[in-house]
Amino acid sequence: MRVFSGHKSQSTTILFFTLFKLSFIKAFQYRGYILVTLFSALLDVFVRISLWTALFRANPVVQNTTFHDMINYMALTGLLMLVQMSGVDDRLANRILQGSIATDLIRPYSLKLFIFAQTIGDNLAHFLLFVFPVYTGVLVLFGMRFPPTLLHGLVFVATVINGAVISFLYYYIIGMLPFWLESNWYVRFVNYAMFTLFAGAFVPIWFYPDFLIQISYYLPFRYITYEAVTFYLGRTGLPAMPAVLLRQWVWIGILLGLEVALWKAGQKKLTVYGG
Amino acid sequence: MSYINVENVVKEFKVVRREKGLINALKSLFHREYDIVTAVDHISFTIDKGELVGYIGPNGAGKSTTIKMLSGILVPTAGRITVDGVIPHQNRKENARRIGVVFGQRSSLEWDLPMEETFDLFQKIYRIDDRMYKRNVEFYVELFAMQSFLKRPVRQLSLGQKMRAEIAVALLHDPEILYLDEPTIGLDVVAKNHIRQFIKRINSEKKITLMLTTHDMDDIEQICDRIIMIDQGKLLYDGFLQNFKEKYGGEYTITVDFAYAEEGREVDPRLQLVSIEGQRKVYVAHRSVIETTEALRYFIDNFDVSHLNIREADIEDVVRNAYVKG
Repeated sequence: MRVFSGHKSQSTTILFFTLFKLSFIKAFQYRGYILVTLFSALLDVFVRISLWTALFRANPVVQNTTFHDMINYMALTGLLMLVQMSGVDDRLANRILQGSIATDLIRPYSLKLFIFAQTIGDNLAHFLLFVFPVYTGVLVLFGMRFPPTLLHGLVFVATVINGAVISFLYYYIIGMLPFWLESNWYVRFVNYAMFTLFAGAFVPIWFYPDFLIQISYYLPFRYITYEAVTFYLGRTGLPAMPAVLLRQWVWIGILLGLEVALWKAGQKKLTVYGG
Repeated sequence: MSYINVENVVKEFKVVRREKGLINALKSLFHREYDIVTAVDHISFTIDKGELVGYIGPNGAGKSTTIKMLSGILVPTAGRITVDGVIPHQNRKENARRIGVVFGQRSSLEWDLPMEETFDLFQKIYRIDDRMYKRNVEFYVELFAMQSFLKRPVRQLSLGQKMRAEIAVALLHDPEILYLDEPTIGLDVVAKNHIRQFIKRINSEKKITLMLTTHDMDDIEQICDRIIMIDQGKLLYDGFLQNFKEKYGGEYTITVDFAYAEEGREVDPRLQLVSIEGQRKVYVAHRSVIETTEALRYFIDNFDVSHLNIREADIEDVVRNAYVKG
């Protein structure tokens, strides 16, 4: 009997696209949610533009940064939320806390891939519905910059992809912590603080005091989207990029090793010691 | 060799010992003591292909732990399990293709999706080819009468509808074995009956080997031919339902509220008085000695009774009984 058809990689791709499609179906189910989220995204952008307008009125150039730089920084960081894999941690953590991870273990799929596809699907739905219209609106309104050469563009894309991988692995590791911690709310709290501070989510790291900048080099957060954005804005030159890419790969290596080790230990805890 | 073999299986869990009080809580930050809890204690049984077995016992008896070991989620501490020649936890994914598992208290459905889409998702997860997928969806949608709620998101379904959906999804890839862990838990009488009819039909029409855990006596009476009973991790009984009932079942309790204090009046000795609470008296009897209808009639005909209540022995009583009789 030919029950399970197709090549493994091919059917994995099909599963991936199915999950992708389902994220859209879910997102469109809640009309109220769409309206409220769109409204709050607009409000958020409006508040931040107002804030930067006020700050730059007194001083048109602060630390080599103009109002126009800031708007572009904000919009780019916003658009790159597409590759921010937040949501991965909750998906995994909830499975562990509620025990449904048990059923995942007996399904013939890779849980990592499953969660990745779900997250990317959700992100893309979110991106197309809210992020893209709002931030493209901002860029059209205030003027957008483009990479000077094709090479710049390609290096930018490579940096973003590396950042996405770092982000995914980081959140996946955070999501595994409930194997050992009974609750994960404080993890989320610390996590949020670290991201706000060291990923440059709201204020660019270049404004920070020197010791914070130094610390940021030893943490993975700035390698997720910050490096890509500063490069795009021309604050990091092309010659400095090989080092940035190298550092990203080092982080990918470290996180991947950590992830594999923790997953093994967590699985053992679950199946041998019973969670 | 049988289809499912469980030989001398033991499962122990390490549980952190928690002492009362703040000081002990602080101490436990630095030094933890563990208790070993034996959930399954040297259990052996075999199941043949196509059998429908009820795996019963009170809450915390070790039923789910056994199911989890059989499905490969838990690794036994000692002993050996094989399912169709394969050791489940060593070949978790290979084993997964042959089995369907439904945990009554845990959903495998996507909350926001209608069943139509969930079926689609499971087709992709189990890589079911289109012909078989179509055939099975048609079959189970009809069998479980799911047509009316196929397009509604799972979160809007009733508990009974959800359970039907869970079972249908678990069967979509034509598993050879279906493990059902408490499939009727929390359902009302009508929904329970539906589920029981479905389970019987799946076993007889699809020839699927079925193992079902429950602590509901009616589930067992109506579905199973064979039962395996455990308590506190130990095997108490393995055999035909009929023999089991003759041996341990048949006990019932009658609570009688007398209209007047019936002091001094003798009651039929076949009814054993176990407690008195004002004008309320509780009797225990056995069906082999006196049938329930006869006992009821006896009280109504001979006494001035304001209220009568009869309760059949539930699984806890039966287990207790089995323990006493050994």
